[in-house]
Amino acid sequence: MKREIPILLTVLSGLLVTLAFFTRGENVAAGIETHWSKAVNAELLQWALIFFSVAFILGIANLVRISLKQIQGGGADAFYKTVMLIALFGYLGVGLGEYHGWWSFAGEGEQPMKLWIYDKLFIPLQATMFSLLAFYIASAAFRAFRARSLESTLLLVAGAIVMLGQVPVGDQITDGYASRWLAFLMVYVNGAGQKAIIIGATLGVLATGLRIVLGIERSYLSE
Amino acid sequence: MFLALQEAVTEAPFFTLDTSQPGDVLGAWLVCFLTLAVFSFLYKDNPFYKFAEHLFVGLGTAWFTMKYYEEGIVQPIHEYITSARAAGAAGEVFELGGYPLDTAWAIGFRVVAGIFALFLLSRLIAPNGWAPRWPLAIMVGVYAALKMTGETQSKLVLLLANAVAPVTDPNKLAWGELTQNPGWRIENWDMFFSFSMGIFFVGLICALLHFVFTFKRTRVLAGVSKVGVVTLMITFGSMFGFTVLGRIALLIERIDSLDGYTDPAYSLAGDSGGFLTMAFSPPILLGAVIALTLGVGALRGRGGDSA
Amino acid sequence: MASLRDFDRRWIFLIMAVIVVGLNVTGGGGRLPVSEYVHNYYDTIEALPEGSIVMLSADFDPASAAELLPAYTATIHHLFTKKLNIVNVATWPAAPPYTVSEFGRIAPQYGAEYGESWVALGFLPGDDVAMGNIGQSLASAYPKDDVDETPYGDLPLLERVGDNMDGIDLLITMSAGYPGILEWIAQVGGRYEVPILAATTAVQTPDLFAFYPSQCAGFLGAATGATQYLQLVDEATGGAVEKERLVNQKRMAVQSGAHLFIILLIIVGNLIYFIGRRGA
Repeated sequence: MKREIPILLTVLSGLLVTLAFFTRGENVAAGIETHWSKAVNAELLQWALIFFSVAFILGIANLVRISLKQIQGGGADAFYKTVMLIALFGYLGVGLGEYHGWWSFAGEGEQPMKLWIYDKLFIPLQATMFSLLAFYIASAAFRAFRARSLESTLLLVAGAIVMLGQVPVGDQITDGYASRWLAFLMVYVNGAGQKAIIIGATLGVLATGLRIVLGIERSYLSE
Repeated sequence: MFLALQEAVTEAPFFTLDTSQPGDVLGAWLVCFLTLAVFSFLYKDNPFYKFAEHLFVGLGTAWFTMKYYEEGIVQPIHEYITSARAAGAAGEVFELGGYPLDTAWAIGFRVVAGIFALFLLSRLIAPNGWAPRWPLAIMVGVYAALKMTGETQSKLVLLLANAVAPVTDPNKLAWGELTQNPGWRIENWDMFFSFSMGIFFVGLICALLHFVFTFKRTRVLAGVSKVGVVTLMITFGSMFGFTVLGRIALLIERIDSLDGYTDPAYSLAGDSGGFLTMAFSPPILLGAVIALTLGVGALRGRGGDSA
Repeated sequence: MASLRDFDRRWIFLIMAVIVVGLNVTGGGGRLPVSEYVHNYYDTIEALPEGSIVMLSADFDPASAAELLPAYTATIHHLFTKKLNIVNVATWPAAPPYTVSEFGRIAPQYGAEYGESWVALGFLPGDDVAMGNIGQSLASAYPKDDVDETPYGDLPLLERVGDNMDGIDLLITMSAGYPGILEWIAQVGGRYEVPILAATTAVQTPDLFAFYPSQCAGFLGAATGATQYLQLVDEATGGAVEKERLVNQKRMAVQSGAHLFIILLIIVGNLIYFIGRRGA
C-alpha cells in the first residue's frame, strides 16, 4: 500500500489535469458550458500550490535543525549561524506580526517595517551577491576562453559580436556593422539553435511526463 | 557626483517608513555597509562577507517563508473557505474554475487539501512514513501533466509550425530589423531572404539531427552533425555574450547605487564641503574601514587566502 | 608567459572596478538605435484600444532588478499614458514590493484609481502551477487582492475581467528566469491564445528568438532593450521617464567600457596561450 496508493494518486491527478487540457471552457456565444474537468483541474492546481508552499516551509525546518546542531557543536561558524537564525526569526516575527495585525511599526500612509528591511537589507545583499559574477566572468574571459578549435573560436567570435552589438561603442568602432551582424546572428543562427535545443528538451519533457502520468516512472518515490 | 542626472539630497531623516521622503540615513549606511561587505569577498573570504552572507540567507529565507505562508497557505485555505462560506450564506453561486459548485463540496475539497498538507509536514516526525508520499504523489502528477500538455503544445507543435510559417509569409520572421533601420536597406531582398532562410533551416535541421542517436554515425550523418555543432556553438556564443551583458549590468547598478549615497544628507560631515562631505559619506568611509581592517588582518597574517 | 598567465586574478577585479566606477563618475551616454523587437513591444501596447486590460506579471527579484526595473517602470508609464488598465500578478516571491513601490509612485501621476484602473493581486506560489492557475481561473487563484485584502469580486476592474483569460487583452511579463516568459508561453500563451510581451534579463534574451514574433510579439532584451524602450516612452509621455532614460543611457556607456575590457581580456588571454604554446 505504501507504493500503490501514491502511484494511483499520481496517475489519477495527472490524467485529470491532462483531460482538462482537452476540454473546453465556457463559450456563451457557442452555447458551451464549462466542463466539470475544468473545476477538478482548478482544484488540483490549488492543491499542488498548497503542497508546494508547505514543502518549502518543510525545507526551512530542516535548515533550522541543521543550523542549531552546528551552533550546539560550537566551531568557527557558530556565530554566523546564530546571526542567520536571528535574522530569520526576527524578520519572520516582524513580517507575520504585521500581516496578522499583532503589531505595527508604521503610521498612517507609511510602509510596513518588513518592506523597510526588504529595501535596506535584502535588496543590497541579493543584488550585490549576483553582481559579483561580473568580476568572475572577467577573470574567466582571461583564463579560460581559448580558441583551441573551430567550434570554440566560433563561440568566442559570436560572443564578441553580441558584446559589441549590444552597446553603443560597438557600432562606433565597426561603422554601424556590429548591430547588423548581431541581428543576423540572433535571428537566423541563434534562432535555429535555440529552436533545436527547445524541441529536444520538450521531447524529453513529453517522454518523462507520459511516464509519470502513466505510472511507469516511480523514481520520485525513491524506488 | 552624478549631478547631471539627479539632484543631490541635502536633508534626510535618520529613520522613516514614509516613502514620500528621501531615503533615511540609517538605511543609507546599512545599504552601503552590506554592499561593500559582499564586495569584500573579491579580496578574500572574510568576516564581513560571512556576516553579510548569513544575514542574506536568514532574511531571504524569512521573506520567502512569509510569502509562501501568506499566499500558499492562508489565502488558498483560510481565505478561500471563508469566501466559500460567505457565498453559501448569501445564497450566491460559487464557481470553481468557472464551474458552478455547491459550497459544501468546495469547502470539503479544500479541507482534504489541508489534511494532505499536514501529511506532508508529518515528514518532520516520521521521515520515511507513508503519509508524506500522498501529497507528493499528487504534486508530481499535477506538475507532470501540466508541463507535458502545455509545453508540448507551445514548445513543440506551435514552435515547429511557426518555424516553417515564414516560408509562405515573410512577416512571420523577425527580419524587419535588417531592412527597417535607416541605412540597413538590402538591395536584393529576395536573394537575402532565401540565403537567410537557407542558413536558418540548415542550422535547425542539422542541430536537431545532432541529437539523434538512433542511427550509427555514418560520414554523412557526422558531416550533418558537424554543421549542427557549429550552429549550437554560435548559439552558445551568443548566450555567453548576453550573460556578460547581464552580469555587468548588475555591477553597474550597484556602483550607481553606492554613488547615490555620496550625497551630503548621508555624510557624517554634512554639507561642509566637497572633499570632507565625500570622505565621510557612507560608501567612502565604510569602504575605507573595511579595506583597512582587511589590510591590517592580512599584515598580521590572519586567515587563509582563499581568493 | 607563465607568470602572466597565472597572475593574481584580483588585479583583473581591480581594473574592472576602476573602469566601472570611473565611467560611472564621468557620465556620458547617448541615444541608442531601437531594435525591431523593442519597436514591436512598444507598438503592440500602442495598438490596444483605451480601457483594454493588461495583465502585468512581475517575475523578478532584486538580483535582476538592475535589468528589469527600468523596463517595469517604463511599461507602467506607457500603459497609464494609453489609459489601459493593469492587473498585477507575480510568480516570484520577492517581486511584490516592486509593484507596491512603483505603482505607489506612478499611479497618482496619472490619477489612476486603485480598483478601477489597476489592481495588485500579489505573489502566487507554484511556478508553472501558479501560471496554470491564473490562466484557468483568476478568481480561484486569488480570492483576495494584495493591497487591502478586498474580495476578488468587489474590485470593479476584476469584475470586468471576469474569471479567466478571456478578459485579458495582453499579458506582459518582466521575466528574470524560471518561472518566466517560457512558462507563460507554455501555460497561458498557447492554451488561451493571449498575446504576450516580455522584458527579459540578458541571460534569457537569446531564448526569445525561438518564439519571436509568433509566440512573443515583442520583447525588451536586457538592459539594452530597456534603455531603447525608455527612449520611446520618454518621447511618448513628454519626459515622464527622463531621469530613468538618462541613467540607463549613462549605464550603457559604462557597459561599453566593460565589454571592451572583457574582449581585450579574451584576446590577451589567447595571445599569451598561443605564444606560450609555440614557445613550448
